[in-house]
Amino acid sequence: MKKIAIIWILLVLPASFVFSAEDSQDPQSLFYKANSLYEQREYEKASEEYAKILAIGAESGPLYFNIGDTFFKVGKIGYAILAYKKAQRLMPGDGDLKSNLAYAESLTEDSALRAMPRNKIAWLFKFPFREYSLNIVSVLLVILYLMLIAMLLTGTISPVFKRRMTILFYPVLIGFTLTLGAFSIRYYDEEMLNHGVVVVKEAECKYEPIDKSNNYFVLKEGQEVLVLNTRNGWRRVRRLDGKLAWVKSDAVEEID
Amino acid sequence: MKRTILLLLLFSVFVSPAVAEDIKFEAGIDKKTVAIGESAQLGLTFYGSQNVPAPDIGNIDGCEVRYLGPSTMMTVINGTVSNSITHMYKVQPLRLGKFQFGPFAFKYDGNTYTSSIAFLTVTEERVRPEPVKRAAEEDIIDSLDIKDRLFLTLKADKAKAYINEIVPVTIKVYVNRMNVSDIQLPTFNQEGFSKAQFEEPKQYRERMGGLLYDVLEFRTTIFGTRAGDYKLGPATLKCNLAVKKRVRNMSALDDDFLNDRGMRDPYFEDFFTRYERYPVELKSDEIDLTLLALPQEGRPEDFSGAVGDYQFIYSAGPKKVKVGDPVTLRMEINGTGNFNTVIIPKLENTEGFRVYEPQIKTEPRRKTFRQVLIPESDKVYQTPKSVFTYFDPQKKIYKTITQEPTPLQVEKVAESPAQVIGQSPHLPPATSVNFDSRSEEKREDSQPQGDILYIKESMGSVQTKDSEVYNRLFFLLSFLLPMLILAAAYLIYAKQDRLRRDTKYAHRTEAFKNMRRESLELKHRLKSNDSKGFYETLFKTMQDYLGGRFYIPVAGLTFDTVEPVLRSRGVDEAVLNKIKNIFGVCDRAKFASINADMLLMRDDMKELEEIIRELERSKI
Repeated sequence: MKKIAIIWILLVLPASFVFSAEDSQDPQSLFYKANSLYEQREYEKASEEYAKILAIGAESGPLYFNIGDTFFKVGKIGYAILAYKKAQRLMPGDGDLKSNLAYAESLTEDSALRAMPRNKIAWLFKFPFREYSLNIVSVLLVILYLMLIAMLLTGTISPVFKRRMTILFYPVLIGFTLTLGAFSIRYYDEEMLNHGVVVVKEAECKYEPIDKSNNYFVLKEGQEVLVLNTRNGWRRVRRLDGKLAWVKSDAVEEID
Repeated sequence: MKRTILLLLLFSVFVSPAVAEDIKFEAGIDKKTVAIGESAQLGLTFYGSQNVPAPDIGNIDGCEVRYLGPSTMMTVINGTVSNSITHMYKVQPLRLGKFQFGPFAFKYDGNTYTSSIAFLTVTEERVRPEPVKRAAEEDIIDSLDIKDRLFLTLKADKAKAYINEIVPVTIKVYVNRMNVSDIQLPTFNQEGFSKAQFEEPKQYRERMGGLLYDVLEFRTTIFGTRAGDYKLGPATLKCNLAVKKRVRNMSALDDDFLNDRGMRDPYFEDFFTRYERYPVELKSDEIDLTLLALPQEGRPEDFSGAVGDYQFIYSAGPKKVKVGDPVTLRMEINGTGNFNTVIIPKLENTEGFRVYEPQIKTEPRRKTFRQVLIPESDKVYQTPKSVFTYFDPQKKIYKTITQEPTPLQVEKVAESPAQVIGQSPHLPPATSVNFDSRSEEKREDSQPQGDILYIKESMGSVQTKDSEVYNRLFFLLSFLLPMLILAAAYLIYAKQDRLRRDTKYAHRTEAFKNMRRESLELKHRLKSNDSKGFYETLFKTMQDYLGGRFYIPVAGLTFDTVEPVLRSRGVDEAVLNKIKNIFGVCDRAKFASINADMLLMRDDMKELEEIIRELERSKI
């Protein structure tokens, strides 16, 4: 149970309720302290320090990256993948992260059911922005939008300026359309869908949220699923090939 | 921010015109010899683009040159499209001898292209063209004698090869002055052999038997696994042949007519002809190939079937580790040969290591093996020796490359046996949390640790949870507010524009504005109980408003002058009566000097307001 407790503290529980006595601590100093513990191979203690940073409500890509490394070091591949996926939301272009995530995933089974099915149109919109977090995409979207409005405004006020602006207007409009498409798709994917990762070695998925129900299929550690809802200690999940089943709540943790 | 700017720049790149293409420029002529007085067609072909304009080839001494026009060609090979444009020129020599056309230099899109050379010999003897045989439509392809102008060849680089030895195979499509499209990838009988995928086809020109052919070359490799004599091929290739066909109702203009009047000209030909596509399957000849067994003499025991000429690169790291830490051996085999049969080099004496499945990466002319070894004790001092054996088909001998062990320094781990793979970590009793509690399930098949990149030194940009930009109010406002500002600006601009263009509207608007200003004065007069001033202002307000509203001169405006206008505009009778009443009251106040009380003035003012409201509402 203690193991479960630390995992909840690190990745699952809204950590502001925990470690309230540590609120005054500086995240940076906690981070350095955790890193030095990691260097000394004190992975459990390092993870406790990382947990304190989350507890005071701070987060960053490198923080989740290091938590992922810590889990990896103690053999918790599922949780490592979960942490790397959280980090990926904040720094999708990070090469180290891609490498570690790919390596961690390569150690899990059933990798064929790990990759998200690809919608070509969605992929086309997402591709130019794949290295950027949703935050950066949203800032870019606002900038392009303001540029468009400014051009329309100046064009309305000054017809001469309007003619001169035409050359610039269409590239900005195309850029805005692409960014808006990418933002919408990613917002839906990252904010509206609940992605989860299997954190146990094998999770039996059942037809009904009852222990005695027949098994439908088995999920392997590190596999990604969509969590549709949670009820009485069970989560209704959709495997990435579309199959729906119920799985014990503690077998799957949500990325968000 | 840098990334954002970079992204913006990328957008500008996306919308910029297409990048420069790889263009090849060639010159060709349709006849080698012509008689004096006859003409030939010179074609300047640009491969890789259809946008190149016609080059100005200037005057050619002793020759009359006339530009005929462009002809574009698009070739589709299993979805890959290649384009070309040929600018055709009619050349008519004016003297006997040998003419050289080219090399032509042409500048396009900032690059200079130089063509090949074409020759034309002019003789005295007139060569009469053979009459074209008029065959039935069904036999039209046969009548063109296409075997000499469109054919397929199959060639293996070797007639004899060892088993597992790579044999390059080349298939060529030859086309001479024919329009061929929709070319599919060739297939060939390869029983007893394994075949690699075709490389990207090459396109070039080749002279054969005095004719210039467009050649499309497909290359692949094969290897066999059983000794014996084999037949390779025939290769087959499907494509479409576009054949010129005369329009039926032009039968009256037969060939003789056109020939006699010198009208056998591409312009007329194009006008009176159309193309029809015929599917064609080309077939090559078979070739013989003998596969030899690998020699038994000198064959090493650990030979695994690799045939070729290889190099073996070996490295190990890290060289200083603790017990349980991974050591990665990187073994790269590169060179030329059959990489399908290259397996991981043999590791000798792996005692003291836990050996995991290697990761294998195959690239063109290279195969890399990453082998993770975990030292299980500090008694390990070096990596295993690695041996790779192969057969060199050129020198016909077996070769063995041995890589000596790399020294290792393995330290004992005193307090952290948890790092040893397959064992649960030992945790001090005081530890409050435990990742791998011994009371819970143990991971008997723990994954190899290591090979992940080291933790981040810096925490990066820290943010509070749920503080994403797109979840904040200002994100929403940054979209709404500019939109509102734009809408407001547009409305203002539209109104100003209408005021400038529509004089009546401008007057009406101005009248309403004046009326509102003057109504303030009316209220002031009313408040000060100045009946004379009030009715003077009321009269003026009425005058100004009606004058502006109906675009009539204000000076001398009375009910009598305004009534016909109002009636013609269809103003309601009740409103007219009210207007008449106001004018009457004002006249009486003006000339009879009545002293109206405040209530009466207020009623009159209300009546004015009602008139204006009615007129504004009626939008007359």
